[in-house]
Amino acid sequence: MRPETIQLLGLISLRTLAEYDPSALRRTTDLSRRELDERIDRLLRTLAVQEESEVHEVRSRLNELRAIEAEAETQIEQNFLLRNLGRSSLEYAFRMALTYSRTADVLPSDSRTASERVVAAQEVPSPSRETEFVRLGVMRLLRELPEYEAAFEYPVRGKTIDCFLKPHASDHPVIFVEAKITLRSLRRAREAVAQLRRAAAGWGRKAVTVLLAGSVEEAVQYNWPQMFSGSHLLRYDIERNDFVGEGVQEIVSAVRVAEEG
Amino acid sequence: MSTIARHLGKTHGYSCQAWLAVDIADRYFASVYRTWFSTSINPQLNGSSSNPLILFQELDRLVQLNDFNHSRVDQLKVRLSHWIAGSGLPPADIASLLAEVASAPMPAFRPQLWKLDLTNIHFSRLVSLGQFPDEYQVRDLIPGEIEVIVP
Repeated sequence: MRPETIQLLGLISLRTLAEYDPSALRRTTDLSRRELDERIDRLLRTLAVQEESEVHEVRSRLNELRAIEAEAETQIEQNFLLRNLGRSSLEYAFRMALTYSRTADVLPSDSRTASERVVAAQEVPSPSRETEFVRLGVMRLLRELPEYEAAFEYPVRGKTIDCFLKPHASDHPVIFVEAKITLRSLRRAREAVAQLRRAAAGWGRKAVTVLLAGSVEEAVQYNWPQMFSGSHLLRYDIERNDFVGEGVQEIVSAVRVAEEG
Repeated sequence: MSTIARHLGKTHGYSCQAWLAVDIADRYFASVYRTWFSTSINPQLNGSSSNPLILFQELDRLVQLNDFNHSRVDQLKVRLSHWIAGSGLPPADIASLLAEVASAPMPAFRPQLWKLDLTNIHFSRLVSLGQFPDEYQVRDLIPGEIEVIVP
């Protein structure tokens, strides 16, 4: 028995859903009806040489699906038949999957304890543009560094830093983030970096400092490597919800280097 | 209008998730959750399956009674299986996970109540599901965007 056969039965069930409940399909997957058909065809081709009885079963269900689509006279009739076909295909997939998991020596993981991933989130009834900028930028950064959790407006040495990123593991570096929607002068950049360095003082190599910025004056961008080496400039485009340039890769590398050090 | 909070005029969203779904997302999808939510914990115009409070109450009771024959459990298993089958996981993982869903004991369906901080989520990630008036989806939530208010 090949796992592709089991996947195919699941996809056939999804394919019936595309007809009788498109809204449920959208909840479940990003695949369109056409993409489902393509995936089914592609998987079927990989099974062509394996003429097992299960493959015949899959083919006969696909034929049934096409026959229902072609021959049903009303939508109600079609939905009823497709729902049953989808359900029975899934049940068959369950049966095969259980057999497969026993023969393939795959252990179920139900015994795991529930993971606690509670991260306190502060209520901000009407966030300012600045708050919105730092929060969205940091959340985007957490996609690259999922092992961190964020604390916004974090008090350090009598000052408040825009965001403190704390790692789940103690051997990872901490990250201090200051944010500026616009960074128009070297003076403002210098002030922000000084604030970051004050906050990170005492952490040594176990701290990474990041200035998150929207639009950046060319002179700041140009002089950054010489004037502020050791601090990272991360440009964030709030409209696209994405970073500009290589800043994020540099931060991820700096974090990994600090972990190893 | 960059955040979902501004777009919907609500600061928080609520969702009810079965533990097994969360666990599978943690193990196989790098803790990225495909999550529906409503902007009220008890949206009156949504159906029962899209009302976090009713769903929580119902699932909690089913788990406590060990009512594994209930249609809601079947429905959850089907939804989970569809999600797994339509994912980009390798066929061997899909087969293993389907077996896991098929044989999952009732405690695996114990509900969690989630609170989503909509002020942290870019509005481009919002999907309107359209079946009920207060029912939305975000397909790539990460742990930092969620508060588990009832684990």
